[in-house]
Amino acid sequence: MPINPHDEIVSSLLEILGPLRGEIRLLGRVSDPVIGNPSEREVFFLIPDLHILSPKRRQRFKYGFNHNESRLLAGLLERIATLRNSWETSRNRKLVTVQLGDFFDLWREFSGSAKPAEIPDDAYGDLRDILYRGVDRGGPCLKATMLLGNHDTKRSDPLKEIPFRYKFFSRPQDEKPFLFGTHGDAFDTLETTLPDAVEEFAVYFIGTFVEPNKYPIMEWSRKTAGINKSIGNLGKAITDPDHNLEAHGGAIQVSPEKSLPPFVCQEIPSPDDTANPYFQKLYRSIAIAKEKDLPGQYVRVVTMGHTHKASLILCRPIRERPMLLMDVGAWIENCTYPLAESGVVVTEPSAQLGVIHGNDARIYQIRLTQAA
Amino acid sequence: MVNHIDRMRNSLFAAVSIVLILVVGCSTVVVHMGSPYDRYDHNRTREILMTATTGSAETVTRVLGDEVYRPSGSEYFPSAQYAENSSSTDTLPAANVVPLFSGVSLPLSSVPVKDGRSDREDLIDFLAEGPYAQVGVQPGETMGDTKSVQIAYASVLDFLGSGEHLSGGRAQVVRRLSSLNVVFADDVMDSRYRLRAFADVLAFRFEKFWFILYQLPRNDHYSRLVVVPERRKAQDFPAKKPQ
Repeated sequence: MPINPHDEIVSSLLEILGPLRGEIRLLGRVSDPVIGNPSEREVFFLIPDLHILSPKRRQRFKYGFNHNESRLLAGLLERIATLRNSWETSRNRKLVTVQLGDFFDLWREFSGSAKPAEIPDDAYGDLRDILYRGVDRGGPCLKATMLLGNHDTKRSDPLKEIPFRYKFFSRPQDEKPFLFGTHGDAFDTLETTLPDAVEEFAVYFIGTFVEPNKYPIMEWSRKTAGINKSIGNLGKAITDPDHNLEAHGGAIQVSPEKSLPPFVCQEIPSPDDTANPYFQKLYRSIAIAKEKDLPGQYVRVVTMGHTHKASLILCRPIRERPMLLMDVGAWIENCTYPLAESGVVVTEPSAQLGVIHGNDARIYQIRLTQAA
Repeated sequence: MVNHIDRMRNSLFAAVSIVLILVVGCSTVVVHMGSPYDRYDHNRTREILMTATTGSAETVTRVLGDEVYRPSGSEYFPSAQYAENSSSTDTLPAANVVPLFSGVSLPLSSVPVKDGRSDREDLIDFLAEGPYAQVGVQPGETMGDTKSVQIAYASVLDFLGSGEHLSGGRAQVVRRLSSLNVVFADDVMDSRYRLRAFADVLAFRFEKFWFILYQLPRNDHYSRLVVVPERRKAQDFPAKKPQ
């Protein structure tokens, strides 16, 4: 059986993870024509929220990007860049990398207005190089599409070195993109109603008083439960610190060519049958695109970050268009999920990645089983 | 007493108004050209033809990538060195020989090019990536909402595609453009050329981009176009939605 691009991605990731005693777990998968991708050429590699901070700021907030010390993500991406080059050389595949926003956390990085010159060149230099900066320095680079998240700006100013987009569509041959990506904040009631300055103030001054892995899921209100920028309801946040992921049937350990179930997701018969408020809003937004005869009407898969809670929700209403929401999660805070083989529930640093090839969309959790 | 307070209030209001009028009235709108990544000055999908190496008769065709403009140079174009020994301590050459594009030809063409897009389609693709995307040299691997942009910018795109609209001199072109709800710039800072090389340069903003038109001496119409983003407040929630 010929090795497929998913297997090649998994093999590449395991090359780096092996020496670190790491493994890959399947948090979600939909492998079905419902995805509606007519092309086998592109492989979409999705990186969720990272919230990186310069070392000085990280120390102040005691909060941030997971597996920082081991350079785990940078190592994985460097290996993926090698795979991308080999595909480009053979011209049979194209790796399209997207970072889904909240890459650099400017809210925490600066107390006042953003001063990019104060960020050291080597502050997460490896990640900046491999995602977008390497092209200018003659090094390996994924030339990632970088989406603008709410934390990527300070007083509405982004870092100038990052080539930000507001959203993206896959590049189709027929002007009918199957894939759409956005950070997710545009569908967050809190984000779109509260002025940035208020939120930035809250994060900067109150964020330091809260334990790092608990702060982000505090609630502003019941309505916005689970959103990562709240200052209310501290008690619940402290007693319920982790993102409880719905890994249906437990998370299977992934290896190349291993047979995986085609559906590992939450399936709903109509868009209103989920408690996920983003799903309903995105579904409605695509309906509006259809009314306006815009490319968004053809979208079957929506990918986002922002919530820090990985999930895969498939809606297949009778006589209505289907939609798959792929929330790729984050590389901050913790997540909780059961292992497939034992049912044992583990709590560990969130470290998720998304991959789509053809009609096969997956979300992985990268885990280190022992301290390397 | 009440009258006195009212008079003071009116005086204060008048003073603030005068200051505001002076500040706003005196401000000059200047368009800065930006880096090759920010400015749209050529159809990015068209191959360009050039000699393989300096002095060579052999020619090659290629589509440019972002690598071409990096400080260390690229394999695609030659580098220049000082004739005498360089005292530089880093690895950079004295200069890199890279293309300096003279702008997209006007009227804007809708004719598809071989293996690529028409100038109009490629410009739409550039605009759809948004003002922060830095895709002036190479298109992104993903895309923005080209259809929405096509609709939103239709009046300007049609204007740029009309030889008649671009002819007749500055006053007439300004008059025609004024009906499109554009903002005109007072000055242009062109990082490529001395502006005196041109008979006229006219810049106007529409939505999130500046459009700069160039007229050559002894030409009766604007014949080149460069587009650069206008960067204001970055967060734009409607732009993050699929519709």
